[in-house]
Amino acid sequence: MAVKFFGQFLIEQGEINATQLRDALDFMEAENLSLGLFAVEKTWLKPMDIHRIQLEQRQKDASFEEIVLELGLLPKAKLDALIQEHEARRVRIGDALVRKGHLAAGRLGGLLERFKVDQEKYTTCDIAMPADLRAPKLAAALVQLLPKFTERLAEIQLKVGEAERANGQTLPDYCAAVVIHMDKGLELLLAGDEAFAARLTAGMLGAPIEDVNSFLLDDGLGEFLNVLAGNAVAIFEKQGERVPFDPPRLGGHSEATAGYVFPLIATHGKAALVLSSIS
Amino acid sequence: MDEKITVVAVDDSQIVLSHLTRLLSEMEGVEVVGTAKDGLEAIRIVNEAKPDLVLMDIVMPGMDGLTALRTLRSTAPNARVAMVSSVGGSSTRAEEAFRLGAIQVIGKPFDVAQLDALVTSERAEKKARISKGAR
Repeated sequence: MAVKFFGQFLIEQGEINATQLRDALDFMEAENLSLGLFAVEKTWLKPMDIHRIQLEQRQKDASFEEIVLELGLLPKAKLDALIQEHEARRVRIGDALVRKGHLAAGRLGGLLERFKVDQEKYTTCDIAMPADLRAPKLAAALVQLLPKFTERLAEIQLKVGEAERANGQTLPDYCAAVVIHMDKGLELLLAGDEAFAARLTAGMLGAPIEDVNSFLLDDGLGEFLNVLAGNAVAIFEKQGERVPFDPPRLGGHSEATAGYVFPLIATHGKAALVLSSIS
Repeated sequence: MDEKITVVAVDDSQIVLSHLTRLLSEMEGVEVVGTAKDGLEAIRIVNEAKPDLVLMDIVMPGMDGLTALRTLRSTAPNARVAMVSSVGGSSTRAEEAFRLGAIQVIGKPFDVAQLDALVTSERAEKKARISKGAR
């Protein structure tokens, strides 16, 4: 049992093969518009509004909807209608597989139910932090923010798996760590293979992936952790707590020796998150 | 507008610093006259190069950007400093930067349009300063 996307689940179950999944993913990408582009298509927002929203989103943890309201771009009722229409129009992977003829329509409902049961314990919000991990609220915030930021900055979709105590698990090649000084200290370490680290770095820089220097991928992960830690800390600073954190430390971890390892299932490459208490 | 501005870029991340330097160098009317990896080095380079604009990261090892900004206020009071923040969600540090005299706080990842607007306004500011001095 592991964290997975519906497409992966279907392959494991022998319902489809990887070529069919890729075909359906291409179909989805061609059919689906982002909420912003959908709003532009409906002429409810202008391309310039989308640029403003994206700029805001890069700098704080706020959803598209929150920023639209904050900037007064749409009234709440119109925004709700937009979301509803967008949701109704969105092609999901199951629908795409059916429409491309790779899955029988009659099987979809039952498979989705089985997938839901399989994945219930991996829903990010339901992940309980290990009892002996200090700053559990901060740890939970980091774990919840991580997929949001990989998606926003680098279009990497990510699922966070169940924590396992560190016992020498091998970590992917590139890594960076940040210590956040809350409840004595929590170290946040992100490790990724070249595919993951290069895409994340390119996203962080807003540069094409071919422009990323492969000798500096630890550095790219470190910059990402800066953003992640800053946004997690901001949640607590809004409540009046001052939570300092150190600049990232780069490289130097080939295996997990302390704390807890959270396996990450990513659409691009392999990655792992390690959280450990600092005394 | 033909006025060129000189810039010093400061960031502990090598990858970010080289990317920022490249972005700035590709902009019209900008000359990057120095780079630094931490606050202490930034103070030295700014005092030597006397740039029109300093772009400086907030979170850095050794001397951080806010401490360096505080020092620059006394050693180079005319330096115009824009802070760069990867901690987008943290308004506390941004507020502190403005309180210490930063002319702007720009977020990472860099938005080219935002950088361009900053450079354009600094070129206009320099031009106005020069013509005021000439009168």
